[in-house]
Amino acid sequence: MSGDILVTVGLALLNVAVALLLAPLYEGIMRKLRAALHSRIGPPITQPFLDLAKLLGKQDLRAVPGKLYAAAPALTLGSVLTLALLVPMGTRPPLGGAGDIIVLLYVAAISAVLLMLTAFAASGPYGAVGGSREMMILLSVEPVLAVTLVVGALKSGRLATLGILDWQVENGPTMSMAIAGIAFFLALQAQAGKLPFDVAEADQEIMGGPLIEQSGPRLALFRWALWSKQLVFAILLVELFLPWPRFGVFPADLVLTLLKALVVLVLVAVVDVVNPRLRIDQTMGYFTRVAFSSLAALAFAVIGM
Amino acid sequence: MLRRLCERAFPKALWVYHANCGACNGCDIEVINVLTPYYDAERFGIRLVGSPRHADVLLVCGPVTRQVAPALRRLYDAVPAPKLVFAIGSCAVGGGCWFDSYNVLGGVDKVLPVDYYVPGCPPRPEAILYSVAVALGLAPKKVAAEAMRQETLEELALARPRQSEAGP
Ligand code: SF4
Repeated sequence: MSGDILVTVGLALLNVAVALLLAPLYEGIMRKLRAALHSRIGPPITQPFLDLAKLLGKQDLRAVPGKLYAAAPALTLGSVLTLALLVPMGTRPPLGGAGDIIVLLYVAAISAVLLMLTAFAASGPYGAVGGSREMMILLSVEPVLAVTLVVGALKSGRLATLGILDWQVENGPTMSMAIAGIAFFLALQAQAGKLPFDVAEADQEIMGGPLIEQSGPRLALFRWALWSKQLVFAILLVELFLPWPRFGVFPADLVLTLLKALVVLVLVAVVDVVNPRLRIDQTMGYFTRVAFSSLAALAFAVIGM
Repeated sequence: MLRRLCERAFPKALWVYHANCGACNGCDIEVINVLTPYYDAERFGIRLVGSPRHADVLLVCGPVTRQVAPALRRLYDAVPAPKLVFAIGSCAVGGGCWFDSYNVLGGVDKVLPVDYYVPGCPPRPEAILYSVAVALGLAPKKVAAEAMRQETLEELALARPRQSEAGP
């Protein structure tokens, strides 16, 4: 029994390490790729680490007093790391006993809600616009995520992420899961805050939106949380919708999962470069349509395709 | 420890904020030129940010008109330390063609401590990049530091013995 706990703790540490340390590296690779597509040299792929190191050591200028406001960046990063514990990475999720896909959806929403609250608390015009856009994106993307995960649950007859994963490995690709996977990928683009859905941050338009008032270490933690979130969601995508081939050997599965997540994020970066930004109403309309199309996946799942 | 880490990473990850303080727009266009893919400032880790709270470097253009001076001071306070200030263009360096005008303060250093001066009207994008490279220690300076002072009487006597001997 105690050996079991040790393994779980080890897995938990591993998942957190992947989310914390690999996320900036993947972001660096994405930036390099973006530069290559612009025919530039671009920053070194360790640039996000340098950015984080610099931001962490800078002065912390705070616009608002209050403990919750002060703790918001750390809470955001913490919620993303909790999310990482609920996601299988090559093997069972370390916190899998504590929650299924419904808990996962709630935990995934916490970081966006915290970001939104911080933006409203700092009370600048750009921050408020960014915060409300963040909220609208959350409202329109969440149904898509929910429907796609429910498709998996319906197919496998289980709510746990590991259950869906095992079912996928056993039964191979199906029509409904493929459609759900595509819808999940589109939602990932918005979750990662990449073009054409970076309406909440929109650097050229509302100057970073919800993050505009955050300086130094606070900005570093928020950025770090956002990068980790995009990596964790990419891993969730490949684990639930593309888990093949599965060797059943833990390190090999982990490496394969991380490689597949890299491919997914590279795709995200390419979509980011070749697209202009949508307006917020267009984004919402788009995701409404995606949500309805993913209902098709649900229908296929019901008739067993 | 974080402070030390920050010092090491600082020159490799400069985020710039561009402030127009009454410039004619010539300098602004050149600053934006530097950030285009053609010059690719991002390879040095330089990024344009839209909020002074995110910035490490202020690129100030223009002779600082009277109205904008208090705003510029507040802008400087909004930037978290450590920070650098670049004065871009002849106007920002010392007033330029508005030298001694009634409505300008004539130079950024009347308001803020300036770290680097980039003269030119407007400075070429290459000049701006060069100044940043000098600041980051990537390129050597083209002028050596030189200090001037008044010689003392003894030094004068040593340097020109004959004249002092021939004295009145
Ligand atoms: S230095 Fe020249 S180009 Fe720049 S703001 Fe002044 S007048 Fe315009």
